[in-house]
Amino acid sequence: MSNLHRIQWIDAMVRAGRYPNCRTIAERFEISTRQAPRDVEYLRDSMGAPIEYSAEHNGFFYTDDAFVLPSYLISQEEKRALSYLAYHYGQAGEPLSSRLAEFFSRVSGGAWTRPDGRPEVPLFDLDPREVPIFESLRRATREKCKVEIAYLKGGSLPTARRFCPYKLFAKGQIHYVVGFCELRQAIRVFRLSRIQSLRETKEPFEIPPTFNERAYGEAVPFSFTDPYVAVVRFSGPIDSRALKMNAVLAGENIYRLEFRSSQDALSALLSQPVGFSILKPRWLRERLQERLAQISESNRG
Amino acid sequence: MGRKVLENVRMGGCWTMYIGAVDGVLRAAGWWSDETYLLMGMTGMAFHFIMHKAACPSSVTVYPWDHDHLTMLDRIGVFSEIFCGDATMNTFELMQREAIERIKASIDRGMGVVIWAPSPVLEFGIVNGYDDEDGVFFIDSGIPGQANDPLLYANLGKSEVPLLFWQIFRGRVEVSREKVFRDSLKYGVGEWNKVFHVNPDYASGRKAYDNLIGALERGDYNPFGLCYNMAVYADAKDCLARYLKCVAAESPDLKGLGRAATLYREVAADFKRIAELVPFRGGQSQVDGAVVPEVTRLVKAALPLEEEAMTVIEKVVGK
Repeated sequence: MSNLHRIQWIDAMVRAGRYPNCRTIAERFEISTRQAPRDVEYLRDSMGAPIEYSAEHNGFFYTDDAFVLPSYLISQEEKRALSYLAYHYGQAGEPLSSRLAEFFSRVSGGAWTRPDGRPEVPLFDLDPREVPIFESLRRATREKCKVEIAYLKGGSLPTARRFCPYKLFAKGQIHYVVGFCELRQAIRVFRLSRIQSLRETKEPFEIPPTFNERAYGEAVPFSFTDPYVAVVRFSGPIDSRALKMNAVLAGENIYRLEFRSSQDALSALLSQPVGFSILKPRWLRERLQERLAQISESNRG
Repeated sequence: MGRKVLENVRMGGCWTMYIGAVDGVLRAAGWWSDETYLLMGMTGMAFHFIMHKAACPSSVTVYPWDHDHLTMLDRIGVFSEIFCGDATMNTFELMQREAIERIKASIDRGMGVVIWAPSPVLEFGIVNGYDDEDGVFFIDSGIPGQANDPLLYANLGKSEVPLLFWQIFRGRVEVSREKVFRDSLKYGVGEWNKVFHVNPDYASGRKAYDNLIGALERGDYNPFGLCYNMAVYADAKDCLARYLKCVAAESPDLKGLGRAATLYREVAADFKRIAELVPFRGGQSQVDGAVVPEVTRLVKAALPLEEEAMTVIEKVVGK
């Protein structure tokens, strides 16, 4: 923890009744006057210090002298690991897990909110190689910046992919990220443990409104297979969210749709208020023709 | 960019999906024209009785596919090529690429291909066509009411049980029915007496009864699995009873099997009743706890009947 020596100094100054303030902290450590308040906030919010500002003395003091600074310290690497555990315990959503998540979050200096829960406590393995990947992806999802990854799939050589990470999630203690893969031009789920390397970029991305965020999470059945992809031209504008499929605009009123069942896909397409034509795949077009023929037959005469 | 569909290659009607798939492919090719129960018996598949200690639905498919499927088809004079790999293996992409080409070549020759899990249903099915432009295989999973959406080339070998299995039929020779009968019966005796199964959580033959009775008595069974397994085995026991009756009638040297056929008719009746008590209704399959004592009683009643039948078979054909 790089700011720990500053925290210790602030604590010592407060205990000595020296009323340190942001200017004295900044001067002492040659940091900006914007960084200094963060150290005080960390001391107050993450370490639970009863620290307040005294206008009279133009500096900070403890309202309760019983406070003691934690006696053990954690490294930056340990902080990242704890942050990682805090995130995953938080995602698990069970009461005891939530408390663990809160604990890890506080120790690592992060902010965390308690989700609703279920009754069991899962155990998350900590893969040290996964932690920096996780940390970068978490930052990229938050700041909505693309990443470049080398992804190992099925034992072959890693493929280089530029990727828009939409959401991190865990399933069965395996950690995944879902987002848009520019190589495949489609939504893809990547397993963090198979990301060989990752480089963050400053290139921004937007999450399309058609992305179904709820389809990816602990409680959602996971598919082991790639989805079918259809290219469909609509005769006019549509609200692609109503399709309830991952949909990527591929031209004027043309969408690239991902689906897992022809029955569901055709039902969604037929419920649209505008006409459409399936450009590909051919088999889906044939399924549509069969279905329309059945409907036509059952309405004859 | 090629495309070919074998319209006449469809799954045969059999609860043992592997045999349903083999029946469909061989029948369409003109390599099999008898009834499906004979295929169950002659290949030896009807003798399979494998049970997980908690009646997991995988029970009916946990056996060494490569060995058993090769020898089952060999038994009836069909030469086949088999591959069995795992999607987690390092060379999976190469295996998959090879499989795609082999399967397409078989379709081009007019022969369907048996594969594992062509649909989300974890069972064997058939590939009966392909379309390179869409990158798909056309399939028949044999599940009534299923749309049979095609299988993406990219998904070949990927499923909840990610095994890349294919069996391609390449040729056939004539084998005397007498030899087929004897070979299948000897295989059946071996399955009944098997001490060590390929996976210690499962057991075969006589020991499968121990697993089933244990699961029922402990109340520790997978309801879906119990219903599915009983449906499959009720059909298999019925096939076996009919097969033994046919063999006893057809083969002068195997007449002694008449008694075994009668005993298996009783076993089949017990299993039919069990399958009615725990009916398989797909994902909605449930077990009414009130019927479990009766199911347990019927299973216990079937065991000595099957034991006696197997003793008869063993005496007639030897080990």
